[in-house]
Amino acid sequence: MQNRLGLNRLLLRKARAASVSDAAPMQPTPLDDAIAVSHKRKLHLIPIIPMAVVGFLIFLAIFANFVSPHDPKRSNLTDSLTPPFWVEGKVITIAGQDRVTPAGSMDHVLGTDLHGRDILSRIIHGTRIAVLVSGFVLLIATTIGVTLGVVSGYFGGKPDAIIMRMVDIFLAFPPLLIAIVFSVVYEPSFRNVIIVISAFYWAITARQVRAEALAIKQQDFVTLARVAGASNLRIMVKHILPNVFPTVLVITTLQVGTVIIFEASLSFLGVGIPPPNPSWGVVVSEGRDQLQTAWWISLFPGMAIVIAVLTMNTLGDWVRDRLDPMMQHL
Amino acid sequence: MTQQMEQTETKSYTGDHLLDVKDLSVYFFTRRGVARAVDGVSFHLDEGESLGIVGESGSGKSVTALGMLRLVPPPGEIVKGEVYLEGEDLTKLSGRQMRKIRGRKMSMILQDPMTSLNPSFAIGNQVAESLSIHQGLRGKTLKNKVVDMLKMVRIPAAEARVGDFPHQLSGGMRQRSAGAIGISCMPKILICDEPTTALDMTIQAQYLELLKDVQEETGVAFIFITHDMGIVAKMCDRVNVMYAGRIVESGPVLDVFRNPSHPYTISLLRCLPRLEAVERLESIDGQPPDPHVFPSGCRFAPRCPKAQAICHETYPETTVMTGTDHLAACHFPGDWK
Amino acid sequence: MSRYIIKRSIHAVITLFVVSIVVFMIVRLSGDPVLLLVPDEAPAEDYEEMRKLLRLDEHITVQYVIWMRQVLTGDLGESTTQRLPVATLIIERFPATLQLTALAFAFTLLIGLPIGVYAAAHRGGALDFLARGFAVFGQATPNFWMGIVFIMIFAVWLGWLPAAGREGGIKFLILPAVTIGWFPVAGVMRLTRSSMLEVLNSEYVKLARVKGVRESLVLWKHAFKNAALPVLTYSALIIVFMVRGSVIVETVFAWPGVGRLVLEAVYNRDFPIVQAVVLLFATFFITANLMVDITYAYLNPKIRYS
Repeated sequence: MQNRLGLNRLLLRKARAASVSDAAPMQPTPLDDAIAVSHKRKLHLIPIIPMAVVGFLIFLAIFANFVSPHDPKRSNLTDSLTPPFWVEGKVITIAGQDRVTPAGSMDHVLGTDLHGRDILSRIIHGTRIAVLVSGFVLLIATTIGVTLGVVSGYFGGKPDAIIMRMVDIFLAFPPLLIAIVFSVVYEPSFRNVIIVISAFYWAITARQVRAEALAIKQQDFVTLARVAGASNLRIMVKHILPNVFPTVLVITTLQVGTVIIFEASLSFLGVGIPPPNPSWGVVVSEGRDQLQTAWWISLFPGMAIVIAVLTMNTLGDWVRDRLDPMMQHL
Repeated sequence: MTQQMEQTETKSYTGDHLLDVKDLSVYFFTRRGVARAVDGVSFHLDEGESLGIVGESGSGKSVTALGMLRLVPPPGEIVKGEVYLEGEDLTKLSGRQMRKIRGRKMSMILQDPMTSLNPSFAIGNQVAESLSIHQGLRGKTLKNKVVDMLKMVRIPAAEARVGDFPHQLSGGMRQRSAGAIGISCMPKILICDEPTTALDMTIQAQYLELLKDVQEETGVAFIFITHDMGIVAKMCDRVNVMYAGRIVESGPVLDVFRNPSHPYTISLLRCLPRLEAVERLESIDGQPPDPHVFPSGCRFAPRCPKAQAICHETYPETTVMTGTDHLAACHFPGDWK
Repeated sequence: MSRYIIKRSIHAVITLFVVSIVVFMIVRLSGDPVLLLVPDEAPAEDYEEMRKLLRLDEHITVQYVIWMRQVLTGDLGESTTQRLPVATLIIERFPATLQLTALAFAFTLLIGLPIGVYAAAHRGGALDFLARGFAVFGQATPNFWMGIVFIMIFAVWLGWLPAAGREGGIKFLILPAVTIGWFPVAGVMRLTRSSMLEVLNSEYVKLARVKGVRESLVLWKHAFKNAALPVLTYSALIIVFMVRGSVIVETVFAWPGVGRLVLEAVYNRDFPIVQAVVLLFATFFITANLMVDITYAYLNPKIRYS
């Protein structure tokens, strides 16, 4: 049904285009513009903060081993369950004996987990995993999705029917379940996570790109190219591909956040990135048994996820509004 | 040109006109400041009459119509002026009272029948809605009345079409259905916003004929909002020419066409295709001014081929032209041949 | 209409068929499927018996047909850790999941729809601002972490609600249901708002006002009926969120439902349970999708007649 929505959107766009050309002598007037502007968000402001945050996250991902204060995987039992630096030691009574809980220190800014591993370092290295997974997934999913989407939309007929059926099937299969089956039959690994997530995302991309290619195919310049004797491959690469690019860019940026959440969820459940690799989801799950005493283990990596996803979504919205204000439903 | 129908009915109230708009101003309060979309517009309309309001898009003609119905979308507001309908000032009415006016005494046919009919409801339901709101009709009587209305707008096999959804109808049929919705409660005034832009040429002519027939049958007064002087010539008794939120020329259609007195009217008339001489369609150079920053003098001056110094300085007084009803707001009215 | 339903149903069946082949093939491609289906410590005879049962000597299509026949008759195999029929285990756990998702679904629509409509009608108002903020955060927050934060706040810190389990009344349901609903509520709200805004700008809403229709009817009759279509489509996605959410949230809150069952099976490498639950969820999901398509067609006359 996403397909249908896509089509509706296209029809809408065509209808608007048609109504504009019918009324050619009537150009948009300053008043219309003024009203339109007042109803729109400020599109022309470049979202500096989200861009800076994304830049920072990528920086952390690349230079994780230089930036992080400790080795994220090395355990040190004497430092076990150190709280964040601002927490002071407390006297608690356990079984009639007074004991002092450890106080936070600047050595472990965000505290440590049960094995004494530094949370901050684990989060920083987790950035690397999040960036790598979303990068690979989107590379694979976009390549496959765009190729099949363009082919499907351009040729129509049998190829289209087959590809769209495949898309339906891939979308009908909740990816979490594939991940679960995969993890039992094969060992969880970085590679399997990427395969499982890509298997879902290519279908979304293919569906949107197909709808776009279908519309572009009917435009005059494609007919002209065909009349001029251009081959199908040439038309697809030279004429259709550049025109679906904005859509692809929008879909891709909007998907980054969901890929990050998806990877974290799989890892949290133990069917994604295998521990002790410090995926954000893994770290959150490691803190689950210490919620009563060591809240910091689960809290901070979750915040990292929220910040990363929030900035990517903001950027995605911005790209969408910039490139295609009509794709509001994406 | 239109032959005006003789007015034989007696007026049921003691006001001067059926509709009297006085100094209506609608401003839009946007981020960039105040846009004076309609800026002190006055005109009147008598029963059974047809008035054209012409101008380019952005001249404020549609906003004038919405202002009369008090349906200006935010950030727009009526900031000044009165709209008297049968002697009653609509700008003073409560929301509830105003709803009783809309659809019943004053109605409107929107520009594009492709988008103005609700895709989720059958045509019959959409015609029935105003009837049940304003006349409290129900059941069989309602249904009969709906069919009557569809027949009035010449929809063939009206009984069978009642259950059709908008997308099942052709463009012309949709436009007629929109007409049926507008006329269903026999309003005193029916505003037609660009009645034909969405239709192709042959259907346009048919539709205009239909509107004339409806007027003869019901005695409704029409306000045509259009950029097309051709429709004005065919349909209207009087015309208001709007430019940049103000009426720059008004008067009986015959007078205005024979003796156009404002340079803007002249350029609008030049845009009309002429059959005898196949010359290139003229369009007016330049853009209408930004409603946030109107020129201090005559608003047309920047585009006017013969503007003088005074035109850029002061807004022209209204001059009475040929007939008593023919007015133009220009420093040098009528010198434009 | 009926042609459309038939076409959609055939598609759904094809999809289900492919899903079953995928599950079947994943097992066969893993090497020796017997290792997955028999407990590690079982005697050699059990392995032999399973080998015969699966007819591994036969052609792969024959194996599939035999397996499918078993699945369709409700024979989903036996759990390798609990030595009980998988069907029994699932039926035992099912009511807990149903309670949870039903409450979450109701929560999603009851909160998401009205707030979305209201935010659109009073665009730029305080509630609109709050709703948008909530939607933005809701969509950026993974529900497993949300659940953990809820536990920290409401169970550990304030002590108002229990952190885990099911025995002991409705208060055990609140945190898990809100956690599952969190993400879809944000989505429903955002989508309702944006599609209402689009519809409220439409000419037919203007026409309704021109006709003198009451504002509440303009909103709920003329606008909402058209704006509800994308939201309805989205409710298919809600079901995906619920399926995914139930696995995650049941894990976080130790809620003894089907989602928890499958995760326990993953940890215990109990493949028959995993296989069965995956098939069940996929079937459920595909059926839900089909239902939505049919409802969508019913509500949108354009699709019905073309």
